[in-house]
Amino acid sequence: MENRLTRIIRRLFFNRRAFSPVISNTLLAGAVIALGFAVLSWTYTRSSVFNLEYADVVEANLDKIKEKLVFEYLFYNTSENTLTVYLMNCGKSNNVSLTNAYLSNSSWFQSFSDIELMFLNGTLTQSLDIGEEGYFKLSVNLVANTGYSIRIVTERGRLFETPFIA
Amino acid sequence: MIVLFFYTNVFMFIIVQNASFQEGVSEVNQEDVDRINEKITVSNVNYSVVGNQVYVEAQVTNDGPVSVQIITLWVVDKTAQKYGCNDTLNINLKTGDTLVFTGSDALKVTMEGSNSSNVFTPWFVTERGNFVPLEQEQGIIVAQLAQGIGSLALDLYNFRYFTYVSDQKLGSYPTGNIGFNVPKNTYVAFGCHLTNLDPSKQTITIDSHSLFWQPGRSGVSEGAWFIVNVNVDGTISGTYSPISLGYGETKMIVFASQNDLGLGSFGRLRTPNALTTVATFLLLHGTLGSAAYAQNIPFVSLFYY
Repeated sequence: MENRLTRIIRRLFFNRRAFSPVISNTLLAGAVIALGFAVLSWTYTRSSVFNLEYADVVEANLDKIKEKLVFEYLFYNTSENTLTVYLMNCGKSNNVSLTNAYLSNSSWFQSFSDIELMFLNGTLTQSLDIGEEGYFKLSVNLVANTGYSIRIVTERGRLFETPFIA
Repeated sequence: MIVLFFYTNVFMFIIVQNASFQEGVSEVNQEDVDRINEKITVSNVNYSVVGNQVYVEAQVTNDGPVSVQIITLWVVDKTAQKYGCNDTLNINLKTGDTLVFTGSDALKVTMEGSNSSNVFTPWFVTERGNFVPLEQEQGIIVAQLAQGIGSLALDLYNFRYFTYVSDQKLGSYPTGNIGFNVPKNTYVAFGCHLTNLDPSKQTITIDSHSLFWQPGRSGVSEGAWFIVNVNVDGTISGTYSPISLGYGETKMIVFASQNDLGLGSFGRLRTPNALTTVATFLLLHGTLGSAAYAQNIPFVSLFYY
């Protein structure tokens, strides 16, 4: 059995007669088509990935544009040295979370990164959905009856600012 | 072919995505336009405090071209340096709609340690993120007038009298007969609208010793119609329960009994049997907050015909 197989392989390699043109052309065409499909598949995959990435960027930008927070009320407690900031998500984006808050006046600046956002009933939350209201507190020593400005930055990168008097 | 396929696929997708983005931007712009076009007018604003509740009475009108949803009422007590909000409001106003929040419909905000005489700053927050301040201009002006003659103000033009359909039931109640010409020698009751405009914004309670008094003059006997409670169908109660008026509240008070119902029983009273003009007075007695209160309102002139 093994001898027979060896003979066949040896005959194939040492046969000096060429393949017929039909067979060679068929093989060549098959190879080209296979290669074409492979490249097409790769192109399709790459373009799909690119499209998905582009769609994600567009969606992220839209969500960012649709974000809108308003400052409902700011109250500075002089005895506790805490500033309570009440917000409402009146935009059209859900999951609006805060990353930073900045307090400043003409000669002073302070940033806050550890912001604990809460609903009005005191429940801790990570973000505000559409129409939801919440608040956070900042421990800060402000001068009463002095003008300040507060700036908050959302996770999507939007920035909202309002002046207030402590 | 492959390059063309690649670029076509990506290019078409980008066009679709850009269109979607433009649509989103237009939507945001429309939101901004709607937000700018919101116009809410708030009038007849009054406050009262009962326990830990601040009651805000107001008339709210949507004068803008877009419907408005009011979701939160904020109240800041400037005197006590306290604040509170009611975020359970769900007031929907179509264009031109007017809603009145008075009496039991007054809007409530929980705030500890507040007082009716304190200075309040309230505002509504709409769903689109607009703020609508509530200003108390009219209340201040009228209250200043009331300080000169007392805390209860009379609506002169809504004075009315009622005739009886039975011994203890008024006809055409509560409409009655508006005017100052009253039939002579007839069993009648009198009705008038009183408003609490107390500058300290406390509740006034009127007790059974209050009456509509007509002094005697030549040929006409003195008459006194004491205060009564009247059911919605016009039936006069045989006993009297004190009537309370919160700050800014208006109620129609009826005077019908010839006896003080805290001291005696109900009985009807006739008008004088003479063609004559008489002066009348409202003698009011009760409490203002927890303190005693009494007021004499120079009233209307009546012609008996």
